[in-house]
Amino acid sequence: MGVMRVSVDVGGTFTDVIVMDEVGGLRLEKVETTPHEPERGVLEGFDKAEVALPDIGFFIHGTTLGINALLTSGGARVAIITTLGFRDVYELGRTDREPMYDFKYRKPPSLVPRHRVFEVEERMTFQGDVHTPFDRLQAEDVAASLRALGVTSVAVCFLHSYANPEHELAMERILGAVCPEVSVTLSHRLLREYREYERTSTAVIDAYIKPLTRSYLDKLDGQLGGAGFAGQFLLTRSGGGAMTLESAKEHPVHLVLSGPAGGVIGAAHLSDLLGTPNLITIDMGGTSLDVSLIEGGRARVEHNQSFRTLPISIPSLDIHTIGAGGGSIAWIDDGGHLQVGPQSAGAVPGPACYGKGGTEATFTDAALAVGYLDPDNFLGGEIGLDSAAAETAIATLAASLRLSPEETASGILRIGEAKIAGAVREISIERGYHPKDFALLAFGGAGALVAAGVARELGIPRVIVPPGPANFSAFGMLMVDVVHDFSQTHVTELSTVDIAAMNAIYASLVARGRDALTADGFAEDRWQFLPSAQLRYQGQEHAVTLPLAGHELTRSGIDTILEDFSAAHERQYGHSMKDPVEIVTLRLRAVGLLSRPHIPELAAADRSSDGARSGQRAVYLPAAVAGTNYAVFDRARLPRDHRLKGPAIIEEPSSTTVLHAGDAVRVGTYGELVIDIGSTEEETP
Amino acid sequence: MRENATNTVDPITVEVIHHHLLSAAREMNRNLVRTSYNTIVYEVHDFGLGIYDRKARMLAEAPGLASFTRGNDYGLQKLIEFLGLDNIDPGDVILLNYPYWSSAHTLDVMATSPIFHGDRLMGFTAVKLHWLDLGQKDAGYVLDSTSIFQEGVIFPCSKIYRRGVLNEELEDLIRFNSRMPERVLGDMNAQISSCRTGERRVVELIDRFGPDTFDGAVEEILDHGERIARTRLAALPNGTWSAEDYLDDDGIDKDVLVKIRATVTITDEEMVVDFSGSAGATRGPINLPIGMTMGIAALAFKGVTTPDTPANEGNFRPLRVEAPPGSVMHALPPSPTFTLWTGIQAVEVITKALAAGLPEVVPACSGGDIFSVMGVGVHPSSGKIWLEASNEGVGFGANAGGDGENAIMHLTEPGCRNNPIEVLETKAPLHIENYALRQDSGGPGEHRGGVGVTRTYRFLAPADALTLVKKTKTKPWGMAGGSQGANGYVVLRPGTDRETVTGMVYEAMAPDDVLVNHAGGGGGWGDPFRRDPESVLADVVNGYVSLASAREDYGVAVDADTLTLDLAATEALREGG
Repeated sequence: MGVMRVSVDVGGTFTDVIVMDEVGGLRLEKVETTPHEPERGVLEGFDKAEVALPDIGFFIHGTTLGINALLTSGGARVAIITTLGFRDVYELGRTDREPMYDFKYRKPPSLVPRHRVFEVEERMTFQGDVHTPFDRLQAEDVAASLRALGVTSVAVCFLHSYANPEHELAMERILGAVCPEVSVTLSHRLLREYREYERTSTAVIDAYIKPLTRSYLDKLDGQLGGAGFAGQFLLTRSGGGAMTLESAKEHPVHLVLSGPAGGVIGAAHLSDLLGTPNLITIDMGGTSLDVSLIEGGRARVEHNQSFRTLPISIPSLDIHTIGAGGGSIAWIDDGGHLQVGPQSAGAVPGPACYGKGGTEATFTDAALAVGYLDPDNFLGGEIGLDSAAAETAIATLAASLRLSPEETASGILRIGEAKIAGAVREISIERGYHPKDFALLAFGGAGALVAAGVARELGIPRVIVPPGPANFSAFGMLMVDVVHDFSQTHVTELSTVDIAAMNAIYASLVARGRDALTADGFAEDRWQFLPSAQLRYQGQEHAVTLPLAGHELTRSGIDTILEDFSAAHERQYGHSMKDPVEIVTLRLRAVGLLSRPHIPELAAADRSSDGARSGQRAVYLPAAVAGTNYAVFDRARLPRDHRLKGPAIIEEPSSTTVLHAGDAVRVGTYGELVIDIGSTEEETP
Repeated sequence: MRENATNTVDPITVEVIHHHLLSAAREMNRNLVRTSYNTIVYEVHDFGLGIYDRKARMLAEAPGLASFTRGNDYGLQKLIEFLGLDNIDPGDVILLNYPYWSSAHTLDVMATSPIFHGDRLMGFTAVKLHWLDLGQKDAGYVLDSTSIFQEGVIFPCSKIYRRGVLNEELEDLIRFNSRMPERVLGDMNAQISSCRTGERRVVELIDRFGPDTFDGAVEEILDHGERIARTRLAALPNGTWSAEDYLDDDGIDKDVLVKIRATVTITDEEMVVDFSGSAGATRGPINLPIGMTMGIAALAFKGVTTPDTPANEGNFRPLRVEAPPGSVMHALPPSPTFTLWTGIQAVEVITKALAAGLPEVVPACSGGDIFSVMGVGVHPSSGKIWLEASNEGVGFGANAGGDGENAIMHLTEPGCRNNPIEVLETKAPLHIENYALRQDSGGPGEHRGGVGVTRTYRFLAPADALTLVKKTKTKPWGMAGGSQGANGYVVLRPGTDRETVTGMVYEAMAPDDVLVNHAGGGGGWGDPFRRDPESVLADVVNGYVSLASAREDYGVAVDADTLTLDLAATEALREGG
């Protein structure tokens, strides 16, 4: 087996390829995504990166196949099988809606029309006892009718199956016998947790993308094998970490929200490497911005995510997306105020300055107009920016605002930054943190452009821009371990808990973890089990997930859990109570540890700084005197430990970092830019 | 410090401050939802909150329910009148639930904290939240009080914090007057913490921009809200239109329908909503405090003018609300006000009046209610009191642009969610027997009304069942030739000799007693014979419409075996019709 590590991250427009050799040397490539034949794009990526497949020891793949199927309604013809009397649980959902004043609200079209929802007589109680026996004959009839309807994939979700899955398993056996060609998703295999709609929705999304995911992965695996690939084939997962090819084919729902996961995984790794345990990450691309929190070196995991309005209740990295990207359109509302986004010019036509037919002013146009961007050095000069087009678009807005074009352009940036800052703050506060206790890690094509402004807005003292920020997501994918998550809802009061029963549940979760890691080929010394429990005050709805020291509880351990819960509640919600505490769900994350790649340090002073300064530009910002000069530097030529003061602009082919007057930057050990906000530190020789 | 009312602040700074205020209100919302102690707050979003200037003008809000839009405005004004600005100090948190001022029932307690920058009063935060119990006459909910004095403890602008110090006497008073003191005090803490969050954020904002710039921005934010509302209002046709509908009863006189009448006048300058002609004050607790009447008119106004922008006081400057004092739409002390369902229906009476003048803008009537079922009792396995509730979705009214949605929460409470079956059964001694859409409940029309929903509860232990339903005796109206939707109703103990078909009840249930809740469907829009037969077929295939209704109501013949259209028979039916 080879020693190269390769990550291939398929995005909407481009596929990023990163090849890392055994000493940590990196090669970054981009090829166009081939939506109709995605495996071809992957193979072309290998070609362009000039990597021989037999040399690859470890291949990690990020695919948007699942989410694209959801976005384009291109998934399987799915049926749902549920408990008699509950056909409409899926269509009803939680009956809520987001827009508050829309009297004509319509839900997005359903993935499963009502006529493909079937009922079988059966019923479990919440304690897992059989209330109504499973009706086999009825189940066989249902299975037979799936064929007639041309169903290719089925989601089975019975009430309380999290407490006792026997009836779902019985249904699976019948489906296997009657219509073996239909792919089957059982809700309890994805989550052993209560809330029937959320479980059904998760199972439906899994069923919806399963046939095409399987077919794609089989094809890709076959072609890679044919070309001599014999390494480990992994996929990035929504919940962090990676999953094996086999797991991905079995539970593809774990792929759906994995798009922005690579960057967050990379951030957690970088946090460890740099000794900065608390990071807020912003990943800003063309259409949107993803925010997440790394606390104590770990990415946060959330259990109630969704795709649009459809719940996906599997552990997913806690990533919040807002409509603020380089392509966000600036516009004037009916009251005459300037607004930015959430509509985006996207890749086509894109910002006006791209010269591809866009006429509306975007965030990127404003960044160009104020002087943040160099029209002749964007994407390393591959794309020339059309300053005149940006100015024309901005002049239209300026006229109706009765402001100068410069004021308008800087206004677009200020409003954009205020929106981003608001989102970052709300997310931090909601999770019980204050942004000033974090450093801001900025990546994506546009993250470093706004980071200093956003940090200043939030009182965040430090910004970090990793090397190669535009490719950081693909880079992060190289840092994964293999992860499986298991859970079991078991609502019970903690102080009177039956410890033996609790330990029996953990033992069963650990057994499932062992089986999964063994099947993945991990030896016992590469296993790691991370137990946690979701707890809440009795009567409260929202729960706190608390990591546990071990998965064998003791009576005295319960007291520790109570204290930890109280402290966690105090931090997250500002107060604790004397009320009884109850367990809601027990969780276990089973990790198969992979070897970590070596990240090379930037050799000290191996590059002269003399040539790094490439010029200066006048930048218009309202806080400064119009036309303040920002010194411009070439990032590739900045040596380790080099320090410089703002105002300055640091350019690299796919990204631009801006620092303002009062900010100071230092080039860190691995080439990261560490910016102290508002610092007046003198430049040192 | 310079007081300058004519401060002009550049439009970019105004918008930046506006974003910060909206973000601060959302932070208050997130803080409250995640800290709250009772399921009703978390699942039903039964709260309203916002940030105000020193004149009690609302700058930004993030209510849980649309019916709480502007819900604290009147209460805050009355609070300032009652206490006087000189008696409000930094660090205070003040409770108000006197319904005629707070504009809600006694259990919706408003907490407010002043925002001081140094010693200068800059504004207020206000958070109103449904408390579980304040010693009102019945546990859970009151459906038949005849005066305010049966509805629980009143806080007439009482300071729970004075200059940052907890008022322990008031806390004890609450503790000793509530059936569920831990939960109530837990929720109160959540509410106070939310107030403090808003307070801190606004102070940070003023620190950064300075008080004069802040004040200048506030004026422009409100003026901007007004400009948008006036622009949209000017695009609506002028005229005066009236409409009526009826609540089932007032909770006491069970056989007397209660009239709501709204007359809406639109001119280029303003919209006036006048509730003259509505019923007089009722004996039972459905009298609406005037602040809430103003709030629901604001909701309807917002829906037809600026549904797409955040709400602030400026939005509502072109709106005027009239309701004769002492009528059911303007409660005077000591009238009982506990059951606020009048407000839910009044919103739709306003849209019904508007339908005559704005048939392209407003929809037909929805299922018309929130169809809430609540259970309260002692759990046999824990010995503790349990209280669980679920509201249900209604069919939305169809409109000029399309069908009404099936079974979603009433337009007064969009953020509210139903209570999952698996959660209900885990927490309460209940067995849910089915949860299903109601075939043929959507009003036929060229655009079909949305269908309602049915849920069947079997009680496993003795408990009280409360149904909070006031629209079962009149049907959801159609528009432009569309037909009525099916009304909602409740059935107790079906198939037994004690079977009762009813609306609002407070009933003791024995083990094995069954309650079936039917939520209404929406009205149709346009002539059903003009509905595309393919759409009718799809409705039949999906079971929203029966074969019989397809034939009779829509003039569409569908083959029962193949579920395909019989076009010739359809043509014959439609010509005959």
